Amino acid sequence: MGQADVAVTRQEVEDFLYEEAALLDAWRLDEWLALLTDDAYYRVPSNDRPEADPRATLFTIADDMARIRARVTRLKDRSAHAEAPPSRTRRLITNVRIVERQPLRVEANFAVYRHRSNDDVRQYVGRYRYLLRRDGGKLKIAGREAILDAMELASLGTVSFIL
Amino acid sequence: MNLDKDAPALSDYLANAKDYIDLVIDQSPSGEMEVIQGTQEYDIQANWKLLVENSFDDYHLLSTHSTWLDYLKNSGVEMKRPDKGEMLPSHGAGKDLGNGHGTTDNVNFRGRPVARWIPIYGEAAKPELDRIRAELVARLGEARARRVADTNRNLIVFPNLVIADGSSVTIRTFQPVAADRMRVTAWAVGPKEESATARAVRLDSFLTFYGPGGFATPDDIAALEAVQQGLATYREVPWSVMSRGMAKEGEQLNTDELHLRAFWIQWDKLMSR
Repeated sequence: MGQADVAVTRQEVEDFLYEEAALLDAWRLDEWLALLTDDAYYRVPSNDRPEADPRATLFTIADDMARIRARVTRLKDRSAHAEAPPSRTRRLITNVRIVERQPLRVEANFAVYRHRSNDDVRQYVGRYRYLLRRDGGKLKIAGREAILDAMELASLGTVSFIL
Repeated sequence: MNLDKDAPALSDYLANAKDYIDLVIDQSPSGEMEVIQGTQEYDIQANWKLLVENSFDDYHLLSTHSTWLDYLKNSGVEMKRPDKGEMLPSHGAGKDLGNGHGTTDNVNFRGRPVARWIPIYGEAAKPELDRIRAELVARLGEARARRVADTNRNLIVFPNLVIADGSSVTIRTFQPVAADRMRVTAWAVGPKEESATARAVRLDSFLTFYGPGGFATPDDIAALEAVQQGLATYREVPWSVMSRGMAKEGEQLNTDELHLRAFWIQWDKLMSR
């Protein structure tokens, strides 16, 4: 019993991703949480295993929704020293493509510039893989994976903000 | 590999650290632990010896990792109030293992993939953890099984190998690339024959604490980098105080600094040869 393709235009997806990026760059994390479905996941694979299953491979981040909420709680706490004061980030999102419509899968390229205290700027470059869903007419994020191009994190250091 | 033809035998070099490596290996029914694929490699802008201190110091846990402790609490993990004279929810010791090696040796409160269930692992994982516990008891006996499953230990093998058997098992090593910068490489380690469920719990539990995206390691890194910046004043402030437990007879706590001093004394001995 196949479900119908999700009717959506690339422009609608782009608007949605830009809105998400704006919320994350502004650290409006509660509003960002509202973009996610209750079963959403957020993953950053290890740099040497960009295509892998977190149940069998060590990731940098492999959050389910409970962990995502805990991550946001942590990031809003001034005792999260790595992000106190919060990094300033600027996300450039391009090459947005709908790669599958049932389920709705979207890929996009990103360059995230991160400034933290008096450090040099750090550039996180890679691609996003989104699993999106329609929920009452609105798009929602059922999964997002940020896959870094760098061979290792090296001078990027940590991924303590939401990539 | 060791290029020094006059090097002591590995067994002699490891001294009392061997017993603590055995405790990790005893998790595995076959006696074989494997490195799991997926490598965490990242830089810290600090001298490598600061990560040695950080890796087996428990004094910083409350102040540096309060958000992680809150996360455990909010997830339904039981946290006892510390006993008199102690700082953490369970008793822990710090030990000098000879040749610059040292370890913490703590009664576990934080949950362990082998084999102490906490709500974070999910109800579905409970039977699997019970099975792992039963296998430990059958193979090792009640006392040794408790030693393996109900204690957590952060071991330093001098100079730059960390085996942390805490929320999961991680092996971590680090190389200085400058006086104020190191490159860290870290892996997860698990029993070779463990089930897909146990492996998933192990890896998930790893990420609650460890690594560049975990709920604890990034704050350690922030602290070490701040310390490194502070050390620029070494001409004016020539000492880094590490005296906790120094005047005490008998057992040293994990929040004392005997084990840290053991590392530094060995380092000093080799550097002044």
